[in-house]
Amino acid sequence: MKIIIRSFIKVFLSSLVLISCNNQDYPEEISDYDTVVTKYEPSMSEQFGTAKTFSLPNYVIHPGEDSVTNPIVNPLDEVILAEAKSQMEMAGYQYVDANNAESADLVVLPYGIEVTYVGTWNMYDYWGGYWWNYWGWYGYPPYYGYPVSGVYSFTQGSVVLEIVDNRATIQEGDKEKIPVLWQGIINGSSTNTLDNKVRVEEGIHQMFAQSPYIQTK
Amino acid sequence: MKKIHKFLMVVALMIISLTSSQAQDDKFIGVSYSMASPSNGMSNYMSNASFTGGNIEYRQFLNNNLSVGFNFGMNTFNQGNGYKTYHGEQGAISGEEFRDFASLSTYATVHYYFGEKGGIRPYVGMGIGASGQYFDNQIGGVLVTDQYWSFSIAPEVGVLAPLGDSGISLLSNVKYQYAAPNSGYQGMGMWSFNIGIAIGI
Repeated sequence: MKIIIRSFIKVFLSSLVLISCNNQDYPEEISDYDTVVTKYEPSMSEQFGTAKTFSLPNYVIHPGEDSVTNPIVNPLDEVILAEAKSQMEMAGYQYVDANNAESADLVVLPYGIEVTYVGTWNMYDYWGGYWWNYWGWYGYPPYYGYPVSGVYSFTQGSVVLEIVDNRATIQEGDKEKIPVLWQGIINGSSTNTLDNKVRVEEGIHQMFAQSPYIQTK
Repeated sequence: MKKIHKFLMVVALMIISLTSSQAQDDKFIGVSYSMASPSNGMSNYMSNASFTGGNIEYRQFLNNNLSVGFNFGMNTFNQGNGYKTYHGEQGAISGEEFRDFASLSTYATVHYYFGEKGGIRPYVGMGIGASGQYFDNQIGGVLVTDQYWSFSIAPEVGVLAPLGDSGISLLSNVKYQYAAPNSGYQGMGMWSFNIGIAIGI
């Protein structure tokens, strides 16, 4: 009987270990963290229907950089401009060249933002210096383990599109401002250029797919 | 008020006298592995079953057929919903969606057993206490978390089957755990299927 009981307990505990290792659904790829957010002002959404034309600059604005004198500073800029233009045309708007942007009903403003995070990691404190040698399991002389450390970095990027109404102004104090009708944001971590291009294209497509009110009548 | 105090004291003394008169093998600690399936309310948030859960409990027999005790349990749920878009009043958000849900429960329990000591004993029971619901909802790189605790009950049916005269029994039961509405959430139910061992102490 004792053998049966021991066997039962072993099988029971083994089952727990196996079951607890079962596959779970968690993000596996960098692109699983990509997020597309769009925001608009419902009270001004009718402006999309009455607009017929749009324009966009020849360059992507990179905050902190001089995009006017040094346009196209990132390989993704061309993709952003082309996809934004394509989506606006598919929504029924007629493109107006950037040189005649003042006559366009809507203007699309593209922004690109990249932030690189750099940090270090060090396992010495936990594995080398404390646990292993505290109990005297590994390492010689005692209390000195092999330090294992390194440097990591990753780049997070955001693509922002804004659609402003070129036909109207908002008075704020003594300043006149052009109303922003819509904002779209893609946020994710950078991988390689080819993969980034596909993700940016898909992201901009999704911005417009989840904003069906951007449509001329 | 004094009458209530007297009544409570009499009940407490009765319980103490009953429990102290029992032999040591009239109490046990149970440890069980738990699987769970979402039911009313919870199934709106989570459809996948949980294969990661467990219970630890203590029971003290008051007489041949009745025991009281307490139970701590946990079940964790997880599922990926694929690429999703959610619309709000002023916009929308899209991304790969992953949901985590954990239910922690603490119950005072009472069980009634059929059959005789030493044999296989089916039982019915009830747990009354509180349970905490912990939510994680990740869409792309955006993570939203929330949690609340509420009153909870857990009726159960099960069986206690001794493994020889070792003092160890097979402990198996099915519970319906229901957490009452709270913090703007509706009531949440789940079925849990538990199997483990009970060790006499």
